Amino acid sequence: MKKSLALTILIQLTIINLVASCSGTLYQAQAQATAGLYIDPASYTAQRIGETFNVTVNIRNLEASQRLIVAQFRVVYNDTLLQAVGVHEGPFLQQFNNAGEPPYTMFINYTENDLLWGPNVLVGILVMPNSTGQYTNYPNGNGTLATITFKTIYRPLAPSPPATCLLNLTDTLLVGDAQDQQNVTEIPQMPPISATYYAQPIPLPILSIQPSDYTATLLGEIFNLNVNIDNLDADSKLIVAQFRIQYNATLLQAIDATEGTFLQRFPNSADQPYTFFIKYIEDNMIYGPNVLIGILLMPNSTGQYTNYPLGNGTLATITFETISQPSASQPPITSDLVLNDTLLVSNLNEDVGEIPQGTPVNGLYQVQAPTFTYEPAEPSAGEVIVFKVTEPPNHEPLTYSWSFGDGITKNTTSPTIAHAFPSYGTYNVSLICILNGTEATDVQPVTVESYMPLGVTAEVGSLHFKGETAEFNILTTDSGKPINATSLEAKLYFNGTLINDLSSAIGYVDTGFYRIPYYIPANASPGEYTLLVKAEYYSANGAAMAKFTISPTLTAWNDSIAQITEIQNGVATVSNGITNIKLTLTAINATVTGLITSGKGEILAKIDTSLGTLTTRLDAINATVTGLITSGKGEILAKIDTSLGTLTTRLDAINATITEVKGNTVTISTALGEVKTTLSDTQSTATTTLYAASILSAIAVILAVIILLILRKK
Amino acid sequence: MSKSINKNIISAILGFLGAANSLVIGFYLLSTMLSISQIQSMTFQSAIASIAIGVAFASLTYGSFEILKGNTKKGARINMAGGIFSILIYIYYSEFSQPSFLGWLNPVGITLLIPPLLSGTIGLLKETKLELP
Repeated sequence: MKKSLALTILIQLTIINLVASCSGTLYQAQAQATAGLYIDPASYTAQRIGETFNVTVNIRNLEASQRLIVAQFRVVYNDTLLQAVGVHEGPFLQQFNNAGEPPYTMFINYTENDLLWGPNVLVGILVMPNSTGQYTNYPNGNGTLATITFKTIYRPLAPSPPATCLLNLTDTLLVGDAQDQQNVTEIPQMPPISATYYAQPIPLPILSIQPSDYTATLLGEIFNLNVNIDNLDADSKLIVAQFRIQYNATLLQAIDATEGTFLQRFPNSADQPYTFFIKYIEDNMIYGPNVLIGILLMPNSTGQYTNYPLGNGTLATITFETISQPSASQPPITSDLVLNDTLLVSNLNEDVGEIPQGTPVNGLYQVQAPTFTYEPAEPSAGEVIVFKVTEPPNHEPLTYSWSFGDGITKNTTSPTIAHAFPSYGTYNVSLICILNGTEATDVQPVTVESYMPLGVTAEVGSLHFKGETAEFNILTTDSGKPINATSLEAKLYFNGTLINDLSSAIGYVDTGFYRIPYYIPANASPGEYTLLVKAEYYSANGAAMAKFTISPTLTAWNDSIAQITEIQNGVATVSNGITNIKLTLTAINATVTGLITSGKGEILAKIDTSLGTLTTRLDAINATVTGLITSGKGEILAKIDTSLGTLTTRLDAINATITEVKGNTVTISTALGEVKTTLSDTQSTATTTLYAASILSAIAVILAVIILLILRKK
Repeated sequence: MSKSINKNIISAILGFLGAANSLVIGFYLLSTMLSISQIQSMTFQSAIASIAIGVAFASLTYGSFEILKGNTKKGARINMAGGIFSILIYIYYSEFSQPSFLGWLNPVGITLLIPPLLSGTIGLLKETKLELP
């Protein structure tokens, strides 16, 4: 059973293999015989009228055994879209030389429009035989037979779809030389592959007003609106643009119109003017108040155009003035700015015609009531308040009539005015803007608080030094009592320039009492510094100013030598006997340079700094004798390590006394502690000798006693 | 060799050893003083030490020679005196001088002082024993 099943499967597999083998053979035989023609590229899209492009007609899968000697084909096209402007032979057949001398081929082409095929390009190529009329070298492989150059002569207008036509490769014929070289045969071929041509539609240009929405803020405001053109294609061949802007003459007055830069960028004539610009500001029966603009692109000296505008740009700029404005109680007034009577003229086909265009984009004009602002926002009685009219950048001079609500009125042409209210309360401040008898009003209530001065005192000391951590104190009081400020800021100035905002460094000490620890940098400039303190306690304000001097040296502080009394974390407390300052030792380049004895007989360290010389007790700088060194003169000196460096000194300067000699080691007691030192090699030898002698003596004594005892027994 | 002669030799050797020891002590004291003289002046101390050591050395050497020559009693007394003088020098530089030069050597250093004392003691004992029979 199993054997018969296996046999069946084996037979089936054999049959499948045989069928597959035969199919492969057939396919190979067919592939060997099917040369074909095709157009490359398979599709092409033109972007401009007048644009030229090439397509190639190629042959592929040609075998030498097919003995090709003649190739013929037609490329049929739509002559409303394209024009064939050139046909050239490709290099393929030229490669297979039979003739010995050029011409190797005979290339024939016709661009024709016949009844059967319509507009087409007919190409025929004959491979030339040798001088005896025989062929010895037949072309094979793939290659280009001919190149055809087309020119785009038409594009549709948007929103139409792209125009298209087939570049139809037809009437193809491949002729082979028969084996007897006396007759010819047609070579079988694959169906030819054509190409598709597209012509992009010309977009519709659109006119628009920019900005499309404009809001005026003040009577007499002068502003500009642009009329722009977008999506203009060079194939539109624009040479004239015309349009009107209709506006509301009760709100606006057209002052002027100027040409934009767009058309000027596409000159056709060698010299200016490149355009002819016409403007009319008129009020006619049809359009009402409007600005009419016409722009003509000037041709060259022969009346021709060679450079047509394209892209986006401004055709004209219209200047308007606001002549009416609502008051604060009235809503804003709006009005449309309408683009009308728009006309774009083209030079298409050397004849003028209207260019279709998209719907123009109108503008919206709005004018709102005048406004004013004032500072400070929360004024106090008696405080100067500055009122300021919100003005546009450009406007006609206006008269501003102010009424402050306290019986005082003032007229001015300046947009700012100062006023102080004598007492607290709410005042209705009104502003009337007046232009040529037209008025617009704004009224705002201004709340005035009662005056509450806040006492602020700043104390900064009078003299400080680079590297010092100075301490500034601030006291805020109300009616003589300390109160905690709701807002406090401190800024440090030098030479009229803000050098540090110390507000974040303000620390609370007690009610109304604050301190600012301020580290004076090592590179701080000497001179006078000013600390400005501003404090607020709700609506009450106060300020204080205090000055101090940064001295480059300590001599301004005290003529006598100042003394370091304590060092903690690299910060030295320096006393001049009256006051203390804190100096960062690294910032003042403190270095211990020697020891001195005070008038009281105390040994002090002498410390040189960038501010001058200081002294300090030796324990303040952790002075310790760490060893002895011999100077170049042979003098033994004590080496002293301190927190500010290392120094050497004569032993008597630190009251050195030898307290113990042990072998060749000497213990020396000094004012800075004990130090042990090892003496010379000679001393080492002496010590060893002493030990040896002791041992020898002990042995000798023992021997002597033994001998004596022996002698005594005898 | 007679017993007294042997004892004289032992006594003399111990005396010479004591003299040598005094030299060693002197060498140490003077070299130490010389070394630390740059730290602390030791001129006077050095002079005193030199003289003292010189006296001790001279007396012990002389006493030892006297013992060898047969003047046992005289030599023993001189060595005893030299030994006691050496002890005084040692005690001074060990306990009383500032700084203490020999304090560190205690108690081993005492062995340096025994030979001259033993030399004197042997010399004196010999004389006594000869008279006993």
